[in-house]
Amino acid sequence: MGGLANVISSAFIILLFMNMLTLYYSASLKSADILRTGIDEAAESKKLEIRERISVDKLVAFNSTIVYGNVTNLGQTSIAARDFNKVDVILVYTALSNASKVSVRLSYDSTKTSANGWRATSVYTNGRLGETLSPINTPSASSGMWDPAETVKIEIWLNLTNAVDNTQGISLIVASPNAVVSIASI
Amino acid sequence: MASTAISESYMIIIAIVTASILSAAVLPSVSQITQVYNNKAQDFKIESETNIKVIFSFGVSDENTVNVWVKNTGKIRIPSSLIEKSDVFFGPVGEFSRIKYNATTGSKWNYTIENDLNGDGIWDPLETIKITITLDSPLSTGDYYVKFATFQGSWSDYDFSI
Repeated sequence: MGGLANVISSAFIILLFMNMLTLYYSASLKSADILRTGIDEAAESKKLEIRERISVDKLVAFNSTIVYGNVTNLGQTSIAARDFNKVDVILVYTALSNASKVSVRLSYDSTKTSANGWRATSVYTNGRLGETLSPINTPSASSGMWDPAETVKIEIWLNLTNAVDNTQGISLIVASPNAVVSIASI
Repeated sequence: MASTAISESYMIIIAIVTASILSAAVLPSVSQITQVYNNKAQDFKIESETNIKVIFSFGVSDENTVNVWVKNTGKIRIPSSLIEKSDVFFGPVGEFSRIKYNATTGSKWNYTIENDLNGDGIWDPLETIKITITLDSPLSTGDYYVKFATFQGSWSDYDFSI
């Protein structure tokens, strides 16, 4: 009788402590899961940034309102043409109107209807016009992928108010969607 | 024999009641501790998902304005109320100071979202803001430093020369 009662009371006490431990550990596991998700997402962002690499070159001031540049995807990942609106294009130049140095970010505009903007006009692969993989339908660029080793020729246009003094230096800064930056100057 | 059984019964009841009182006292504390852990973990998750990068900064000698372009490279959408709680530091290398947002006197900074892709007025991932720093004295030639820190403390900096 005494032995059975001891067993029952011991079992009850053990059950209570097991309940408390279960509660504590399940909450700890939830915290660990939240931490793991946060770390995974931070690592994924860093991975994207590491795999993206671009290079700007062949900057040409065609006239005071048109500038061309070539941007090559040197990274290990493709960039969707529909994400061109997440690419930052900044021009630094001497304004024709008042000879002051200015910096301006151009908005992506595949239709070339805005007063100032940029768009992709053609794609090259190793210096040859055209692309083999997932071709981009320039200039609308509504589909296609900017794959590694492909070069996009971009056209930047400005209105007369923002015209460039193309006898002075010009710098083109391009940032990929994950903020990998390349700069070229003439 | 009967008295032994009764005292054993008393001991059992005491043991059960004691265990119940102990767990009733400890359980709320355990619950509070786990809540704190979860909150800390959630804060860390938000902090690790908040990421920004200064992609370019530019200023001209004898002018009072500096342009800074900052991209949201994280996963968090940052509304205007939280952009205004960001910290901007600017000045000559080694002598920079904090610039107040939209100050009425002295140097100040303001911003616009350059490519608000969905037009919601929120600084979404992969969107870029342009910070305009207006100084109370013109820039001179030299090396300059700018640092932008979000409400969560994620920061990015940039050096440039004039």
